[in-house]
Amino acid sequence: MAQATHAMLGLAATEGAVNFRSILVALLSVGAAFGIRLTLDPVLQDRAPFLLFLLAVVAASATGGARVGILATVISAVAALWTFVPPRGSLLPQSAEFTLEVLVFAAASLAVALLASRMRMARLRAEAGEAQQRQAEAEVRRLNQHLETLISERTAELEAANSQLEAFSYTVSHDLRAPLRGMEGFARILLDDFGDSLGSQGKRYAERIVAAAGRMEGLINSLLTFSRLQRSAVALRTLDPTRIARSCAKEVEAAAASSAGDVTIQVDAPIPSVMAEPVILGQIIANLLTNAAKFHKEGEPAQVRIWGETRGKRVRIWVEDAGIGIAPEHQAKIFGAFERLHGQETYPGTGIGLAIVKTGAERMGGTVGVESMAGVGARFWIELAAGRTAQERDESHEVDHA
Amino acid sequence: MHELSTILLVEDNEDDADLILYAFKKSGIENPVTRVAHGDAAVHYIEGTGPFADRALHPLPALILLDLKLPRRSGLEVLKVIRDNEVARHTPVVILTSSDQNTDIKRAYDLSANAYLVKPVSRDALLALVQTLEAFWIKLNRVVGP
Repeated sequence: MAQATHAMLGLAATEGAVNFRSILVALLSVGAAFGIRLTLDPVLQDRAPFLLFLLAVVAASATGGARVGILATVISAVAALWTFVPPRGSLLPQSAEFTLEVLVFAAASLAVALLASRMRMARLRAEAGEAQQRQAEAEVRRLNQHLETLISERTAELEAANSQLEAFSYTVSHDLRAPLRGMEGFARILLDDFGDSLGSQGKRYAERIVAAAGRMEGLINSLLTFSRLQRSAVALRTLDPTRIARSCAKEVEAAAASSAGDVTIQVDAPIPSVMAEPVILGQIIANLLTNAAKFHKEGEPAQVRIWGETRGKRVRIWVEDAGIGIAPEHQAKIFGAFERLHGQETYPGTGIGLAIVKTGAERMGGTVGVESMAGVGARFWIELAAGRTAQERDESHEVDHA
Repeated sequence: MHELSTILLVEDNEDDADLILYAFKKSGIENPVTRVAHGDAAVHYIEGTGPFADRALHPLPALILLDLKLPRRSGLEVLKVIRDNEVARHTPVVILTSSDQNTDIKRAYDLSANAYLVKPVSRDALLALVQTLEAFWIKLNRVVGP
């Protein structure tokens, strides 16, 4: 009994505040039970004095939980003892029979209150769970909406940045070149048509204007190539790098010949076919060859070799020189834009060539790297997916059409 | 006859205009080259109005070299006027500009430009370009006669 009470009190403590409505329900139920029992009193007389009060306790417990149930039990017990249990007008039962009835009523009521309370708790818990779930769902919806707003804001910002970048590269290509044409063109006219009156010193200065304009044009072109590489869509197809390598080699040798350098480039044919975009692959090979030709040892001719090897489903294209090489501590950063290890006088350049190589390779799903020792030369490589054979292409066509 | 037909150069940049005129002279091209410096002047010339009302002095050109970035009226607007003009609509128009933007190239061809060339920085490349222009558009190419 004490244990039951303890359990009930424990439950009651977790039920929270008793509200006014449930007390009212308890009082009304008990009142109704009292009224009906009173009406039936001439028929029932002293029999079953507690019968209807048990229903009142059930109603009170169901609405208000254990504490209200106990309240209803106590009021019912007092009302029934006073009114219907003989001797009427007294709280003490007349005989052992009625004492037993009081105890049965009390036990039954407590059991009902306990059960009702348990059911009510379960219901409350379920409701709370549902509410929590609804709240969680609402939170998820709210977060989703917030994310979508964030994404569309960021997209708009990126688009704005992108169009600014495009406007910038337009300005670079259009407006920065215009003064260069003036510099180059008029300096050349001075050299061609006014060479005699310039004298040898004047001619050398005019030649340096021409050379400076050429360098600046190279820089602008590299910048534009680099910025386009990062933005443009890349469509890969199977290419034979051998022809591209040969044509780049010819260009680099010709450019070197005009600037008094002695360059031989050996193309080891065939280089296995690769998946690439022709313009980008051309830019990569041209930059690697130019680089290899440029960093030769002073007083020695530049010896450059390009060849390819198949490595599983990939092809690695190597460009090797016997030049000044790169110390290990510098190898990690040479592929970054504007990284230069040497002064403009020793080895002219924009510092953007290897960045084009790296970005270009990455845009085509490839990788780049370098093996080098200072003073011994350098071997640069790019690795791309191997080109598909005619048979593989036919098969993939069949698959595509299936 | 073709060798003596007029070339109209629409170019606002003084340096570029001088260099192009110099390149024509240096290449021994004797066709008269008339240069106008903005879009409105180009439209006047094409339509034979304003300062260019006298067709005897300002004959319709056999070739128009048109810059895109021009004051008052853009090169593309000028191109549209040319293509809408009853007399000048078939005149070859070669865009000669600094811009190598794909959008500009596309818009120029949408308006029926005959060719699109980017001004080279190097003077030697400009000489080669002018010689090729003359050889193709003035000597080889046939235009709709009057």
